[in-house]
Amino acid sequence: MISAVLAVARGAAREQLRYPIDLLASGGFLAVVLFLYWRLWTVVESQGGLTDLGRFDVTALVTYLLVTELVVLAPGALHLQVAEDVRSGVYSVSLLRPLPHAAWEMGRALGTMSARLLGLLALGLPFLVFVVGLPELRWRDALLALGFVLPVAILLECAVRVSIGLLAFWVEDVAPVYWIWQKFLFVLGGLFMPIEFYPDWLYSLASWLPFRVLLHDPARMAVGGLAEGELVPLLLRLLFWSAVLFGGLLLLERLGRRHVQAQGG
Amino acid sequence: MTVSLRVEGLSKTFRRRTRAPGLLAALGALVRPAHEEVEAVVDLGFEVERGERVAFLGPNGAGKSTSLKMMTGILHPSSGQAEVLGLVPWEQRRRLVRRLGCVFGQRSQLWYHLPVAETFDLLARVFGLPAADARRRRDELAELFEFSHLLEQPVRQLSLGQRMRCELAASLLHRPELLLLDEPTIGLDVLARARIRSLLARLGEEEGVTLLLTSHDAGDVEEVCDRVLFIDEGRLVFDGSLDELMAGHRRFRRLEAVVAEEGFRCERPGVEHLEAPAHRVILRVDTEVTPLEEVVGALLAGAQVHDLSISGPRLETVLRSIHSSQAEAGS
Repeated sequence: MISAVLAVARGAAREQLRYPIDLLASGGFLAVVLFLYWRLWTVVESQGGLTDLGRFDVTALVTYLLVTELVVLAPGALHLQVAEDVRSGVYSVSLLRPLPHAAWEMGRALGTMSARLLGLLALGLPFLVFVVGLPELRWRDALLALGFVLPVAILLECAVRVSIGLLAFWVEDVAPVYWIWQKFLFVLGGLFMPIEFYPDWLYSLASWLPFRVLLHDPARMAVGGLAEGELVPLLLRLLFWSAVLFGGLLLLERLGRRHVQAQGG
Repeated sequence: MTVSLRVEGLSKTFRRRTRAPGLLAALGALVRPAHEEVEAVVDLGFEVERGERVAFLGPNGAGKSTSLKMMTGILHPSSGQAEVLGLVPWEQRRRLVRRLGCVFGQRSQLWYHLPVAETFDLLARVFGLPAADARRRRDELAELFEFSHLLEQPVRQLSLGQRMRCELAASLLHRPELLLLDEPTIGLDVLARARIRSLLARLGEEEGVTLLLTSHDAGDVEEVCDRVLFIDEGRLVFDGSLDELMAGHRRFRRLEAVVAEEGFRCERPGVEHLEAPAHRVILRVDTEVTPLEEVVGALLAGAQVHDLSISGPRLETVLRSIHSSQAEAGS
């Protein structure tokens, strides 16, 4: 099955790479966001507003945003694609392959995310390195974050988007559901800044929810913000929420399959 | 003979939400939604033997696609049983699809932006075929379906006919024992349709694949299939050979003439005037009631005939007449 999933991923990646301008456009968007954010934090720093933020300086904050944006931008509009497949009946035909549909979708997500990451990093990374500068990195944490925690976080976000797409079995339009998820993710996941900067009550709330695993944890780890003894809890948290979110995807798929109709989804 | 497909008492009922027109009714439906039950397939039963080429016909909404989807395991039936290649489709779907080929005319399994060859590579991986075998099989199919020159072309650049040939070949890559085709010639032009039909007929003969195809095109049935299942309002109303289907209608002849006069009538028992433009006469003659020579004689005697043609019953007419008689029996 792994070879089949990797083949699907390769196909999806090649499909994305057929449109290099689209990929570079998302990289350009990321560079613009990073530029605005960099200017904003530079002003805050010049006013003495970064004194209470521990290890986080301007370069660390911009790098943090680069990592969180990768999670948000790499999966693309997967939820809309899945919803369209459900509505048009492509989903039901996909059941005629000897590969579980969820595995097919995750293969497609893996390929899409890999290709989109190339596009995003093609412009985002040079901007960070040559314009903003790299923060002081802890190489073990940075490598583990970028090589394992970040890819898993992106795949988890893909799983969530596939799950939202599968809601098309029950609702006409999945876009509002995604919109709500995205806003929670931005705020409680810490898209723009680590959740430690939040007031205590909001930080406590965010700590118990899955959003931080997707954005805050990989980004904070990548910029070297992980304190001693925080690595194991982070990995356990990642494992727990992976089980919950992938389990949710499988459950939704099983429930959705009962709603397959003759012509459409 | 081995049975490829056995269906017994298969039924499928969908529950559909109903809404009365108007704003108040729409608001009321939010509080108390109303539903109705729709019987898509009712007590379907038949057997298909290995190597048979069967047409599964019926008007739109007759239950053809629903039946096919139950036979492939995509849909669970409300009641009844089915055994496809010795497996229960909705319980052993993933095992079954390894031995089944499916083409749903309006849903592509090819990757739209990638070259055709890459879809074949992907399908080989998904079906777990050894790479060398898969490549040999692909080349064999490309030769049979005449698309070797298209292998490196992206699917989006193919014409509909070329794409359909590739779709058919892709569904055969894993050497299925049973091929289910849902409207494989839909949207194709005359030449492409003829090509697909001849390929399907060859496929049945050369590879011994069992074929079950749905179509609205009588030509598909006449040129590819040797047996017809006709389903109407979810019920099987005819199961037999093409000859048997036509037998009850052979006594009818269609007589078409171009005449000098306007409004010519041939009033004889068993002769029905069909709608025709000016200076044309189209008659449906029941030859058991009035012999054909008597009608032709009356026509030649009563009108100045410029042209005359006589043809046998057409499959489309026969199917329409079965559908009408079912509707009359129902009402």
